[in-house]
Amino acid sequence: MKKIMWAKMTMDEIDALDRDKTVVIFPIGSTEGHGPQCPVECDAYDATELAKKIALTCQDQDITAVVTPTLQFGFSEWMDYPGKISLTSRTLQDVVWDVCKSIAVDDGFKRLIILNGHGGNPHILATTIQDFYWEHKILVLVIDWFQLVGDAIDGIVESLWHADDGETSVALALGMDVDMSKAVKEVPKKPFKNLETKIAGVSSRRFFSPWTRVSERSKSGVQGDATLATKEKGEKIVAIVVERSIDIIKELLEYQY
Amino acid sequence: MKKIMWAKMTMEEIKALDKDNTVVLFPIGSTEGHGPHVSVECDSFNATELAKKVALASQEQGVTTIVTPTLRFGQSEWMDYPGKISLRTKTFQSVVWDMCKSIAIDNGFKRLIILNGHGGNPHFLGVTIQDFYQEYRVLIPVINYWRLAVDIIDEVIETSFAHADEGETSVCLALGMEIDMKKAIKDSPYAPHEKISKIGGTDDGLQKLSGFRFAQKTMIPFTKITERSKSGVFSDATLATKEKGEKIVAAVIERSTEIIKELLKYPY
Repeated sequence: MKKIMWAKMTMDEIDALDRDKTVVIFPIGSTEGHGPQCPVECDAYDATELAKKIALTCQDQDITAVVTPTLQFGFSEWMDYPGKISLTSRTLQDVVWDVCKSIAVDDGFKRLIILNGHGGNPHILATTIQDFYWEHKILVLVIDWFQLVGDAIDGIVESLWHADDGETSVALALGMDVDMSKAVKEVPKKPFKNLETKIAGVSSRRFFSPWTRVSERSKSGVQGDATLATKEKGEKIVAIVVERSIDIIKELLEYQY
Repeated sequence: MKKIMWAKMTMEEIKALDKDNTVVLFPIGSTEGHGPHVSVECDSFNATELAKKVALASQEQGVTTIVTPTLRFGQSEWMDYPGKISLRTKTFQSVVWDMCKSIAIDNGFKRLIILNGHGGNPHFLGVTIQDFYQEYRVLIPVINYWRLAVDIIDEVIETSFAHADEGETSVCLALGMEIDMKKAIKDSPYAPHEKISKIGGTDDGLQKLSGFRFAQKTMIPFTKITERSKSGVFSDATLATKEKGEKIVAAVIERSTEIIKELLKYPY
């Protein structure tokens, strides 16, 4: 089995990789409260473990995929629970830009995918990869794993939000040390309840409003029913994420530079 | 044994910590080439493992010390070996600032120490903690671990402690990194500006750190590292041993726990 972790390779081992046929996966998460049952590394842990599973599955299909060190900090400014370590959106954009530049431009790995595990990051990442494309004409993709399965979770989990049935199930499936005896149910308060709609299975508003202090919505950190979470449900979701990510990787390898 | 890793705690476990009597260690490293024998995570690995050892030693002395997730990217713009993932100076400073603000201001842990493992970071960290102090009146010490043990390095290391060499590789071995010592080599670093950097000599005790800018009398920007060493090794990595590294690590742990005790006395 070949090494899949960038961090564990020497400079010579990285130099030996075929730039045009290697896919690099850059996991991004967050460090923030995830209820009484999950550790604060939840999003970073999920993104890292999903990236590893995707890279190993690639290897089984003779595709070389390597996983960079995870950015353990995301945009969590409004996540005012104890334990949050957050970047402002400008800092996050700069970090993602610099990392993408190091990998895709300086090192020449243009087949680059960001695997995001935190719901506060997507719009910031989307802006960054757009600007990055115009500057370098390199197509960096962002997979928000929870969006990738948005249409497929009905019938598996009740919801896929924050430290709830869905997210906790995935955490369990990925081997996180979760104390299910502490899992709780809390119905989050939604400030614009009657103005939300569903796009691709994901509830979304018809207008933009900033994230406001999350402790106003849920005191416990759980948004839904974490007590329903099981490893088996999580495994079904993980399998879909891995399968669809591989499809994306195959397409990205076809992209003409 | 209490948990020492911030990442592995729940929000309630972090909330339960006594803000005024808990020391938070924030490890910072880099991702960059470290010769044919050491993996690119070298600096991040060392900073993380040292922080864990310091936290455990503190715990044995009855001081609650915890370790945040490691910032695995540093300022390595000039490190033009394969595998580098670097932040520009401004980005690096912004990340450190935001993290310190999250930890010390938003969460209220003012007893915060940065433990740095990368020789390209110190001057940028120095600027950041100064500005941070002016803004928030919070005192964040930065430990550059090799500087903290410079006298021990002078005793136990024959050639140098600069980059992927005898000194650094010894510390990696002592911290349990998987290293293929068969690939370790000896190289002679050379810089076109070397003569400038040697005028006036280096400060006592810092000769073996002379690969780093702050041991020099004149400031010169870091230039493309491949000009200095093709292999990624400065001096003789084949001389590295676990035993030499352990002596350096022991000094870093002992002195860091002393710094921690002093920081706990700092009056806020």
